[in-house]
Amino acid sequence: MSNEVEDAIKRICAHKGVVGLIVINYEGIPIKSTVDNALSVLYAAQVQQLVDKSRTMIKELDGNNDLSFIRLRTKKHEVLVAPDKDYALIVIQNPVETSQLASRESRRSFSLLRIFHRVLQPYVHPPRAVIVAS
Amino acid sequence: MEFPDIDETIKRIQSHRGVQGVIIATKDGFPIRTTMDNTSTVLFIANMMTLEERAASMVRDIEPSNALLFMRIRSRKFEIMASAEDDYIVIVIQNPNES
Repeated sequence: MSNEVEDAIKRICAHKGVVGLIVINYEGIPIKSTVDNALSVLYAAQVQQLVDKSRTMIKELDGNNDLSFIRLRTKKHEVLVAPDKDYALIVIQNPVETSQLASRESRRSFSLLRIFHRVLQPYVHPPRAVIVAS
Repeated sequence: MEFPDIDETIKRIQSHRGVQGVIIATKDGFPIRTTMDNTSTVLFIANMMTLEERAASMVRDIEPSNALLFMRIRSRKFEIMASAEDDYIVIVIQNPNES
């Protein structure tokens, strides 16, 4: 994976409170993760279903609209999901109270996705190779 | 039923910049308070209940001791925030570009 992508991932992970980061492809398979494999796969499967359902709901409400972000606040963590046509970025962080940090987090996720788009476009529909980097 | 605290809270939320609607419903999906028209209210409640259940079960599957507290679904045109605890569901719809 290119330096640009690695740098962006490092940048997000270095952010205070970030516990883990997972990137999943359109099939729901983790292609990059900073948490262990079992947890990545668990998150990937669950988040993909949630993203699909959310996207369907948004489109049902308004055909011209589209899902742009999901944020789940749980007792222990906060899960941020930035979905895209071909992949989704999942970030798990400790709950942050200020809204400023929250919007910065969103912008970071989007910039990472844009980099992914540019860099990974040729690899998006590859033969079935699953790369889960540690 | 008169609950001045609830109505005041709804007014306060509604007065935030960008807020388009506030809906409070029972766990079964019956609207108790709403600032939107009936069709939209019912539509939002139905959709958010399904999504909230999905998200809550996702959280429990990943970690059984964890629980969903709050969820935000952001789209280009609006952002829906939903909180389902105890016996009620609270849904707030806002314009994400204005807040």
